[in-house]
This record gives sequence, structure tokens and C-alpha cells, in this order.
Amino acid sequence: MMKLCIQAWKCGIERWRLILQVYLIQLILILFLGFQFYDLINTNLSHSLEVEKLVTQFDYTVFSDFLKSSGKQLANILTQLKYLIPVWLLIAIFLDSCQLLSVMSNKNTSTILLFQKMINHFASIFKIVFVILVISIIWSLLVFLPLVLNLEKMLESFSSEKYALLIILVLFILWIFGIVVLFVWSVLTRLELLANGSSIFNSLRIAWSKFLVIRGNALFFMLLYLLIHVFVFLLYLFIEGKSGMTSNLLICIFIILQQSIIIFRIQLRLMVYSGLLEMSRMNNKNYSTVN
Amino acid sequence: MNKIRLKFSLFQLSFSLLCLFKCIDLVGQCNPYFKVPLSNRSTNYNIEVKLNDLDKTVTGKQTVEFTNQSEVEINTLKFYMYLNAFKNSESSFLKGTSKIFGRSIVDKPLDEWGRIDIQKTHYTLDGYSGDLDKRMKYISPDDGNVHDQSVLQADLVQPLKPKAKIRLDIEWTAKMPKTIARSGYSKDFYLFCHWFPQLGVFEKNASGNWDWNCHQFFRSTEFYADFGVYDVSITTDKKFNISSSGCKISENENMDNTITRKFHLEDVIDFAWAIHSNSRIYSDHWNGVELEMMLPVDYSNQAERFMSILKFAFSYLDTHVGKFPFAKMSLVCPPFYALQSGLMEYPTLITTGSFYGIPKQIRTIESLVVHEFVHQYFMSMVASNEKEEPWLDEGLATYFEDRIVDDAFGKKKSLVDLVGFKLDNKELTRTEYVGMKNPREGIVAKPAWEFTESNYKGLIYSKTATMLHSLQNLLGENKIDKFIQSYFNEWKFKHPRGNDFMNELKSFLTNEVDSTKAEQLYNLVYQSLYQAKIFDYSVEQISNEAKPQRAGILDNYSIPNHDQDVKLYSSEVHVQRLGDWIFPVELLVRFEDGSTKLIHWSGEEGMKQFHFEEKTKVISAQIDPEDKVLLDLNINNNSLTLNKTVAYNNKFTAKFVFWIQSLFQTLSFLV
Repeated sequence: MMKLCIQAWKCGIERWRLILQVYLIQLILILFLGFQFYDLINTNLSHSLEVEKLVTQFDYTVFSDFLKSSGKQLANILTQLKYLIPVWLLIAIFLDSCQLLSVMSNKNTSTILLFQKMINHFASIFKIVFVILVISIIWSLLVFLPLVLNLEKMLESFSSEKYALLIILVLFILWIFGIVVLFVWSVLTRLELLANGSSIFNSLRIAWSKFLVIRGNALFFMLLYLLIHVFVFLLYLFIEGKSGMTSNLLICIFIILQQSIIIFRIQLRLMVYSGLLEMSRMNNKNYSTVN
Repeated sequence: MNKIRLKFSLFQLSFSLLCLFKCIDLVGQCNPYFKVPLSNRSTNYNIEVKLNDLDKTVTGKQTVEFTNQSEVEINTLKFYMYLNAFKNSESSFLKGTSKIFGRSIVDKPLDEWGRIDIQKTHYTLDGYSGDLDKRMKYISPDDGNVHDQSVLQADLVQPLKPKAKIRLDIEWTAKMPKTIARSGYSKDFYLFCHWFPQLGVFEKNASGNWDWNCHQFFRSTEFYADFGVYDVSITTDKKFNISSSGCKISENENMDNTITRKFHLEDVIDFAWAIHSNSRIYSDHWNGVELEMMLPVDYSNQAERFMSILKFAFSYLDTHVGKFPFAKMSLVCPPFYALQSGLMEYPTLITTGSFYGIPKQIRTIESLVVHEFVHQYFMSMVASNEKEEPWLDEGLATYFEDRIVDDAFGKKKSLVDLVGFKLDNKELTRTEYVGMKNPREGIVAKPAWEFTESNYKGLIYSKTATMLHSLQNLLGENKIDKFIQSYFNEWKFKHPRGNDFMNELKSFLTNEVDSTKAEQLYNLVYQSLYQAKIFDYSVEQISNEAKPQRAGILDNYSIPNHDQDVKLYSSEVHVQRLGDWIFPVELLVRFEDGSTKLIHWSGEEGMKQFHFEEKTKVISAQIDPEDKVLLDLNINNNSLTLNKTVAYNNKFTAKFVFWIQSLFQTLSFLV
């Protein structure tokens, strides 16, 4: 497992250009909202002396008065997420699959070439993602719908709310587990499709068989991936809580830190793809390098 | 025989001594007796009550001794019958709603409704006695709802003369409701508040006539009764822990697996108790006052939080308001499934609320304890009418809740201090008012039943408290404390009305500050309570223009020498009064060279321009620079600066972008 992790790490480092390209595409999309947000606070708040309080610490009064006076405009910006998220998900399907293709390909393969190849596979990949997404939604409903419908009764019938909390926690873990399984299945299916050009149904079937073979290692690997995420975010919140963005220098440092985390997450994703590919290869030699 | 007698006498003596010591021991722990009565004690109760846990019924026998302390004869008596508010969906309390506290009342089985019925009422007056059973009827003085039985009227056979006393022996039964609001049962938890037939208050009404003040119960109304002495004997199953108002005087186990506990409490307006089998009792002391807490077993790890904030509140109010005279204070935290019984105040007993695992950085537990405890001063001792003028107790309780919680945990972070999100109690209170959809929805000083669910808290609790914070900022903490102390000392163990509060304020301000300021501050309070105006001042514009150099031919036919001219700027600051609430405010104008000017503006004009001619430019202007008047609906528009704070824009845009990026990356996990 250690060897696998090191190899995955190497793979991530080697494909830094792709990571940066993915990062930039995502950033450009989000800056569409970011500029609007900047403009909103620049127009509606930055002329007030109260703002100085926000630089040194969070100030609820300033924040809530801002929301009251400019809440509608802020809501308008956030409403755009409704449209931006589906657009992003479409782009993400493409970019993630490019990353998959990249880990299957030679490290020197150019991004343009990856993008060109992905355009050919996009329709099939999209169908796989759609199937997995539908299963994810069904899984989420299966796990949470009974909870939502019965939460009030649960709270009334249990002798303590701690049992309800425990159930929610267990269900959440169960849900995460299911989503992780679906994620691995989705990755393996796409790998199968990209490597062997199998049909969607066959890819799903073969990937599932492969998942059953590597399930232990794959789930452990995914657990590691999730824990790193949680750790990174907790660390970020801790550092921000301790020092805060209270001066121009600290603001610069934190912007660099925030964006480093975003880039690191993309790299982590690439490492997971690489790890899952290696696991599949160890158990099945069908996944040769795509040229 | 003599030996036997001697032995028996010795046994009697030792038994008596034991009882005496036991009694002394109990009294030593919690002495409920006052040497001198603190109140008028017009209505005294002796109640024996037994709970049947199986069918959730209560049988009670009570003696009420009521003294007519008015100047007129009384021909009727009026009783609160709170449990009848839960008799059916047509009561004034439940009418027109299908949910209370988010829980449905529509499909309630029959055995979950509650009621209280009087079986027998015997009176003794001036040597005459008889039954009043056939002279009783339910009345609906407030809304005429014939289905409401929350007020019972008894017509006396003969009038009760001034200073005369009537004794009533009442037998009653009650069926406890599955808790809808406050009183009732939820599994193994019961709360008994307003649980017995209780007399209203015979007092002068707004027109100056003596009458009963005994309103029906509505969803938004709380309670109002007169002072008296309570002797209460409670019999329940042994399995229950009990926490109650007053001191426990005795405790006897009975043969039928029940236990009878007797309690005594003086100079209070009500008596409440709660029982819970799956709970723990915690005891402590503060300055001679016995503190008792009954918490669900699951909340054991929160006991220290409850106790330490309770002691802190004791200490704070002792310093800033006055002495707590009672021997014991009880705190009951219902389990979450009985939360509808929580968050209320009763004399020497408060109910709070919690949730399993609430982190220490979220201090709702503490905030609730403090709020309810402040009611021991403003509601219990200063017994204003919670039904007709709820602002008098809720406003003051919220104001002190803010002060105490902020003092205990630090300003700007007292209520929540979790992963960078910080919020203090006072800020939340202010936001509850200024954040209302329409802060001029109505006036504050009106009966509770005239509020809607959406404006009840924002106006009664939050606007009043925000007004008091503003008054504190304008007057200073010492002075507002002095005012509240004088109000407390004047009205403790009495029933003040809004007018009494305002008169107390007027006389205090007249003595303490100059007449102009006194009038301004009085008007601030008056307008907050009795008018629905809004307060919003803003700085609209700052302009600077270099003053033109002298030109042309001067008086002495010389041409102006520009080298000798001092460069001056003509600057203007435009301020506006956006609301209809007029209040004098300060305007702090800052110049480029660092100098400042503090200007006093009457605030009367809708728009005002302040003109400056200085060697330097105006760079910022700020109305109310110390944020004294928190009633201002938008603090952010109180100031304007020409030097924008770009750092702030960068900081929050960076955060915004980072969290959206993170959201996007997390969502892409699904595809």
C-alpha cells in the first residue's frame, strides 16, 4: 500500500501541468461569481468605516446589517450557482476523465492530446456518470428519506436524542461509504472504457467485478483520501482561527494558502486515479498504457 | 411499669429531639421563612396533590385564603384554569393552529388532551359558609370564545368587604396533557405550572376602577397572579426525582410505593414543580442560597456549564440590580423530547433547554439559563403583568441576558465562538429587531395577544432590550444600573405597569442628568415602546473642492498675490435621516491631516449639509461614532470614507472564492 501511495504521489507530481490547467479552468469559472461579489462589497460596503472592524475580526453586526441592506444582491449572485453548478459538473466530467486518461497515458502526453481524445469518449463517459449519478441519488434517498420522514417521531420515541444523533451519524457514514463505492466503481468503469473500449454496460459490469477484487485496498485508499481532506480543512480552519486575515500581508499569505489547498485537492484526485489504476493493474494486466 | 413509662418517655423525647434536629437540619439547609413579609400576601394557598402516573391524573385539595386589599366590595372571584387551555382544539390557546412548537396537535388521541375540573368549592366568609359549586361558570372576557375554559368565575353569595378574608376549600382533579406548551407530561417527565385553580389579581385597572385582572390564556401570553404564601404537599411515585419552587420541609415514604414531599414558599406569585425519573439532581450553594438542578442523565457532562453560569448570573444581578432574598433556586432542564416544557420562568424555579453534545463554543445553554434566571427579578419579584405588558419583564430579562452572557464570555464572541464564526448575545438581540422584515410593524407596549408569531420576539424582547442597551450607552453603565436598582427597589413584590416604569425613569433622569438630555433620553425610551418609528441616519456624500484663488482687481487696486494665499478646501458632508424617528446625534468628521471635528446635529432635518472650509480635505464622516444608538437599523450607512478599505474587499472575496471552489470540488466527487 505504501508503494502504491508513493507511486500515486509521483504520478500527481509528474502531471503538475495538467493539475494547473484544471485549476485555472475551475478558477476562471468561479471568478465569474468572484468579481460580482467583489463589486457588490466594493459598492455597498467598502465606503463604510464599519468595514475596518471586519478586517481585524469577524463582526456579526456589520455582517448582518450588510445582509439586510444588500442581501437581495448577494442572493442574486448565489442564485447563479444554480446554473453554474451544472455547467461545472459537465466540465468536471470532462476534466476528471482527462485526468484519468492522463494517469493511463505517458506522463509527457500533452494536454491538448488528452482533450482531443476525451472529446471522442465524452458521450460514453457522460452516460456512465449519468448512471452512477442516478444510483447516487437513489442511494441518498434510500438512506436519508426514511430519516427525514421519521426524524420527528424518532426524537419523540427515543428516550434520548443521543440515539437519534447516533443514527444520523451511522447513516451519514453509511451514505459516505456508498458514495465512495460508487465513486470507485465510476472510476473503474471509466478506466475500463478508456482502456478497452468496452460498451457502457460491459464496462459497468467488468468494473464492478474488479471492484469486488480490490475492494479492501480501494476502500482503504479512499479512506486515506477522505481523511487527508478532513485534515487539510481542519488545519486550515485552525490556522485561520489562530492568525486570521488581519493585515495585507496575512491576506496575501492566506490567499496563497487557500489556492494551494485547492490545487492540492486536484492533485489528490489525480493520485486517487493513479492508485486505483495501479490496483486494477496489479489484479488485471488488461490496463496497458494508453498512447 | 414506671420503667416502661420512663423508657417510653425517653423514646418520645429522643424521637421528638430527632424530629426537631431533622427539622432544624432541613431549615438550616433551606429556610423559606421570612421574618417580615416581603409582599402583601393577599392570596395564600395550601395544596395537597397526588399524581397518578398511570392515567396522568392529579387529584388536589386546596385551601385558598384571599384577603380583599382593595377599597371596594368584591362580588365575584376569578380563577385561572390553565390546563383547560389544552382541553380541545377550540380553546383560545389552540384555536387557529395545527402546530405548536413545530409539533402537530391535530391527530392527538383523546387521552393526550388535558383539563382541570373543580369538584367542590366550599367557602367561609364572615362566619358564614357554604358551597359555591352552582355559582361557578367559565367566562371569556377577552375574546368571547365560548369553547374556552381557561377562566372560571365564581359569584359570591355575599360580598367580600375591604380588608375581609375569604377561605375557599376546593377539591379538583386534573388530567395532565401530553405536553403542548409548558404544563404536561412527555414520557417520564412532567412539568406542573399553573396547574391548580389560581386566583387572578384584584387591582385597579387602566381606568382606575378595581377589578379582577384575570385574562384567558393565548399562545403568546404568559402569566400574572398575586403574591402569597404556598404550602404544597406533593405525592408521586418514588421513582421520580422532583424539583420545585420553595424549600422542602419534609419527605415521607408511603406504603403504596409513593412519596410525599412538602414544600413551603413565601412572597411569590406562583408555585411550579417538575418530576423526571431519568434525571440527576445536583446541589450547590451561592452566597447562602441553595441551588438545585434537575438534569436528564444524558446531560451530566453539561452540569458544570449550567451551574457555573447560574452562579455567575446570581453574582451579576446581586451587584447590578439587588439581592435575591429566597433561600433556594431550582433549575430544571427537561429532556429534549419535553422541550415544550422548557424555557420558562416561575418563582424560584426556571426551566431551560439543551441538546445532547452541544459544544462549549455554542453557549445557548448559558444564554437560556441567564434569561430565565433574570426573570426571578423581573416577573417574579417585580411582578409586572406578563399578559398585558410583556415587554416589562421580557425586555429587561433580554437586556440583562445580553449583559451577563457578554460579561461572562466576552464581547463579540459570547454566544458563538466556533471556527471563526463569532457572535455575541447583544448582537443577536439587536439583529432580531433590526432584521425584522418591517421593524415598524407595531408598538412594543401592548398586550401579548396582539402580537403575531413573527413580530412577538423582535419587538417585545429585542427592541426593548436594544433600546435599553442604547440608553446604557448614552447614560453610562453606572447610571442605568442606578435607575434599574431604583425601579427594582421601588417595585419589588408589587405589580408595576408600564406607566410606573416610565414615571420612575422620568424622575430618575430629572435628578441625574440635565433637563435637555433627560427629555431626549425619556423620548428615546418612550418612542421605542409606545411608537412604531424607525431610526436610521446615514452619511450620504462627502465632497471636497479646492477654494478658487482670488482673482480680479482687489479693493486697493492691486492684483492678488497668489504666493501669499493659503490653499483652502471647501468641503461638504451630506447627512440624511432615513427614518421617522428624530434623535440628536453626533457627527465625527475626520480630515486628511488627522484632525477631527465632533458636531452635534439635532437630527430633525430630513437632509442636512455641513460645510467646512479648512486647509485640509474631509476624508470621512461618521454619525454616532461610538455606536451608542443600537436602534439604528443600519450601522453600516452611518459612516462614509473616501479612503476605501481595499484589504477588506480582497479578504472576503478571497474567502468567497475559496469556499465556492471547495464546494465545486466536493460536488465533482459525485461525477
